[in-house]
Parts: sequence; C-alpha cells; structure tokens
Amino acid sequence: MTSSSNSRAFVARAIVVAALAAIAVAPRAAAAADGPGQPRACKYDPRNVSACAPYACSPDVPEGTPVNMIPAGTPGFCGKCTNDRFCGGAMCRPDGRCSTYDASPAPAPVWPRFHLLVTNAAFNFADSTSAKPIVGVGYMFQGALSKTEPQKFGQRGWYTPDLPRVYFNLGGSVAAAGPAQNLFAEAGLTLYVPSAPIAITTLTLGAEFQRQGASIWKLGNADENSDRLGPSLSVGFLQNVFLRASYVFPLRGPNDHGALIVGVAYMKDLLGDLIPDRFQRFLPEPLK
Amino acid sequence: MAKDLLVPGTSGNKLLLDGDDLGWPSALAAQGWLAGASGYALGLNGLPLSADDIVEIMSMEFANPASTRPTKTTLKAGSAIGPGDVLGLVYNQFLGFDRFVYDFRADVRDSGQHLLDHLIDQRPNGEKWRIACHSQGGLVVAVASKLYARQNGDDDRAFANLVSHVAFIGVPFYGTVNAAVALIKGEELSAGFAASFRAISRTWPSLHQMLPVWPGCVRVRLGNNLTPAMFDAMDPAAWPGANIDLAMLARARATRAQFLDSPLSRMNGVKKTLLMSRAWPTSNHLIVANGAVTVSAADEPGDTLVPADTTFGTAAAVEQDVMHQFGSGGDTMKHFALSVDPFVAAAVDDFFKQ
Repeated sequence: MTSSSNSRAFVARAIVVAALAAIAVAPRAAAAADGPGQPRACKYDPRNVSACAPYACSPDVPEGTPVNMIPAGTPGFCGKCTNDRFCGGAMCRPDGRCSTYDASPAPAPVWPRFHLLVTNAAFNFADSTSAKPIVGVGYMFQGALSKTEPQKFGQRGWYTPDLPRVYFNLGGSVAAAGPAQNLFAEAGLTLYVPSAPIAITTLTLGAEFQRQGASIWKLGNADENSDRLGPSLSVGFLQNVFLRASYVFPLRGPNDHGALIVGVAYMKDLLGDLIPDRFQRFLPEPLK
Repeated sequence: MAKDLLVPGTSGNKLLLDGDDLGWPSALAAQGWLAGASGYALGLNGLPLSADDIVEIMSMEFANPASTRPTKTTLKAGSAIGPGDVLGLVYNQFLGFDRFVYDFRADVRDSGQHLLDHLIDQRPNGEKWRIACHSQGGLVVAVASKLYARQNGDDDRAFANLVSHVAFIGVPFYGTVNAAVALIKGEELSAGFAASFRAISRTWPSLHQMLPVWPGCVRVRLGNNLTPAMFDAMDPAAWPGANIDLAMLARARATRAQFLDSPLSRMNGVKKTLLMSRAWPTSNHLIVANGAVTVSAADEPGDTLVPADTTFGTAAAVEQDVMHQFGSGGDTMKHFALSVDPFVAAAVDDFFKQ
C-alpha cells in the first residue's frame, strides 16, 4: 500500500474512531429499553460476565470491530454469546451459553532457587608450580534466604512484589584426569543483581576449598593430598558464566604454598550454544 | 509419570541450514554485524558472506497467503531451514525437560500444528504433559489447544485430557511493540545490519502475528496530542509509509481471530499460570505522526517485551485469574532470559507439583 492510500485509510478510520467513541460513552435509548419481550440491557465487561450468565453481554458495536478494542462499559444486550471474549475468555458454546471455566490453583509461596551443571576451568597463579589449566565438571546451587508471598492483585490475578535478593551459594567441581586430581568446593553469599551493567547477574563472596593430589577421595590422606582454603569472589553473567578469583592458603599436605586461583564456571553446554557445530573443532582440546 | 515439555520462544532454538547449525542467533548476528559494518563477513563455509547473502538465507517465502505452510523456508536456492536444538543459555533451568523445537520465524498456526503432533505422538503413557512455554512458545501452545479442541468436536476440555499444567512465561498474548520495532527499525541485531534484518523480519509471519492489539497500542499525533486510535497494529492504517506486506497483516489478523483472541478458551480444566515480570521499562504503543510510524519510549512496567499493566488490563477474566506478576525495579531477568531467573524456575517447578 502506498503512503497516500494509507492516508486515505487513516481518514476513514478516524471517522470510525469517532463513531465508536460515541457508541462507547453515550447511553443509548435502545440500551435502556428493557421491557417485556425486550432483550435485557447490560454493560459489556470481559472482566465480569456475571450480569448475563450463563449467556453473555454482547456489546452493541459495528460488526467487524476487533474484540480487544471494545471498551468495558460499552452498552449491550444480554443474549446468546457470539465470541469467547464476551464470555470473559471462556468458550462461547454452540448453544450460545458460556462454558463454565475451572479455576486454576492460586500461586503458593515460592523459595527461589537455581542450579546448574557446569564446566569449571581454573588456573593457578603464584603457586609452587607454574600456571596450568585445571578443567573439571561440577554443579552449583543458589537458594534464596527467604520465600516469596504472592498477593492478590486487585480483583483478579496475583502479584509477588518482593523478590529475594540474597542467596546462599554452594558449588563444587572435580577434575580427575591426569596424575594431579583436583576437587574444588565453594560456599558463599550471593547478591542477585540482574539490573547490573554488562550482563552481570550475581556477586558472590565466600570461601573456596581446594584438594589437590593423587588420591583426593581419601579423606584422611595428608601424604598424597594437599588441602587449601581461602576467600573467594565471584561474578556471574546471565546466570550462565561465573568468573571466580580465590586466594587459597595451605591447610595440610605436602604443598605448603598458597595460590591465586582464577576460574570460570559455565553452563555445561554453553559453547555448543554459542559456537556453530562446524567451528567447534577449532576449540582447545580441554574445552571440547 | 507426567512428562515435562519446554516450548521455547523466538530465537530460543537453533536453526539448521540443510541440517547444519546455522549459528543463529549468536554467530550469525556477529556475522551480520560484520557484514553490515564492513560489507563482508566469513560464512559457515569459509567463503565471504555479504549482508545480502544473509538476507537471502534467513528470509522466507509464503506464496499462498491462505496457507500456513511456507513455500520456501529460505530463499537460498536448493536449501531449506529447519529447527535445531534448544539454546540452553536461556533455558538452563529446564534442561531435564523434553523439548519441542520449531521454526520460530514461521506462521504460529503451523508451529501449533507441529506442537500438537508432538503432544499426541510423544504422549506419556497414561499420563499428561506439563508444559513450560516462553514468549512466542505460549502462543504456539494456545494454537495447539484450539486445534485439538477442533479435532474433538470443539470440546473446550479436550486439551485437558492431554495436558495437565501449562506455565506461561512472559507470553505476549496481546502482542508486543518489540515485534513492530523489528519491522520498523530492524535493530534487533546491530545498527550495521539493521536494514538487512528489517528486510528479513518482514518475511517472518510470526513477527506480524505478535504485533500489539490492545486498545491504545497505536496512537495518532494530532497537533501536540496523542490520541488512541480505534485500530490496532495489525491494521494497515497503523503503517503509513512503511511498506508493510498487507498479506502478512491479513495473515496476522486471521490468526488472531481464529486462535489468539481469548487464548485460554480451549484450555478449560488445564491448570495454568501466567508469569509476567513488571521489573523493567517496556514500550506500550506505536506513534503515527507525519505519515510515519515510530515507537514510544519504554515507560510501563514489564519485562522489556511484554507490558504488564497493559497486558493485564486487556486480558479477559479467565486470563486475569491466572496472571501472576512479579518483581520491580530491575530485580528479575529481562524477557529473553526470563526462564533462567531463579524465581521463575522455582515458581514453575512448584506449580507443576500443584
């Protein structure tokens, strides 16, 4: 359609606008007629269809008017329904009656929580050995420190205004390939900040524990395993990527050296999402 | 045992070109940006790829306005595009779910038929589906419910024999101004690729089918005043000078009348919740002025795509009854990532147990 024909269409529509507006606001003589044998007058309201139940209040508007554009309060007549919306969104049955609609359960209080299988790639700096990547698989969990309380929203619907901002965070990962196995465990408090810039969604302050050695599953073995513990700070992006920096101090074992551990934990299949299949062969081997 | 199904939203799953991952939206968006800025980018086959090439690949053709099926899923000769895996990036809380993937560019009626086929063919033994659907995915579920009712003598409770729960997450039941933004500006991807994306988006029925239809969604500037028009954004009068495809608008109006007005009317007996964030400024109208259409500032609470007050205010009784709004002041994820929000994930999980 050209812009000139659009303009003509617009003028024609403007006339219809004025006519419909007059219909919507002006009480009409026909609507007032409610005598014996006459259809009962009503005010159309798709949010409250009790006036004519089990039939509907059909608004008195020109045929072809988009149903969503008909304002509540438009005068109409009780009678057989002709549209689901005149039945409040329930089905208008072939016999002209509105279907009785089953209620859904009211929302219950919610304990917000989040969990994710992750790939964890960590690098050790300022350590007794040179920096090298430690790639493992892991799991992280965030649970809110409070529950939500849904409230009624006006006449209908529900609203949960106060969403928790503070969560506790638990996570762990294992890298079992190679002679030096690693186990990382972390715990902390997380601030949920989805309005932060550059897609940051969480800030976590906590502690990270590292067990490194040849037999990390042997809990009491201090000869082959070294345990280290220290504070950590983590920043989450879009609930998918979590950058973490920790400084771990030696607790026990043959390694009495501290280290700066810088790591990134990300959703297990994230690279598959971001990188087309045929480009994935260019990824470094550990990340595959 | 009940089976949980995820129906993602627009761009929520990959697209495959002749069976190969097309890289949409991440890689192709980057390629589009580069092609828009420099003229060329590196294609999937290692050969140079221009913006025109991307338009050719991503555009659809619907030669028969009455058919819900595309005549071409891509304009690239001898090729076809189909749906690929769900993007876990934005659905990482539903990784254990069965997934329904579809071509989110296509006619939602066609997608709804595919979903219904999936629900019937993969139906859990003696049990029902529990569906979590996001954005356009919710419209696809609404279409499927009405198609299933038709198959069963227009029984509004038929769908309840197949599905026990539906959690709608940020579903634009009455449309979204953002669909119009894609058609007007095409800036969904990048400024350098905007014109190309605009050309692409105008071949996608789904975007037209998500145009806003609430009262006041189009406002006309007369002097210094903005007057709500009595037509919606699916009406040609809303698009002066925009050269919008009138057949696409007619397709959208037919879809709305057949399937999306009163979207829950054939889900009687299904437990439902409609989760809507009101934490982010969201646009709620188009402005027609001086023979052109523009988009209003985002100044209503919503999720950046679905305006909460307007959608709630437009909804009929059975829809309002199950609407659950949440959040304020930026304390939820935005629309595209709403499904990874801890509250949303937990609310869906708990709702499925009710």
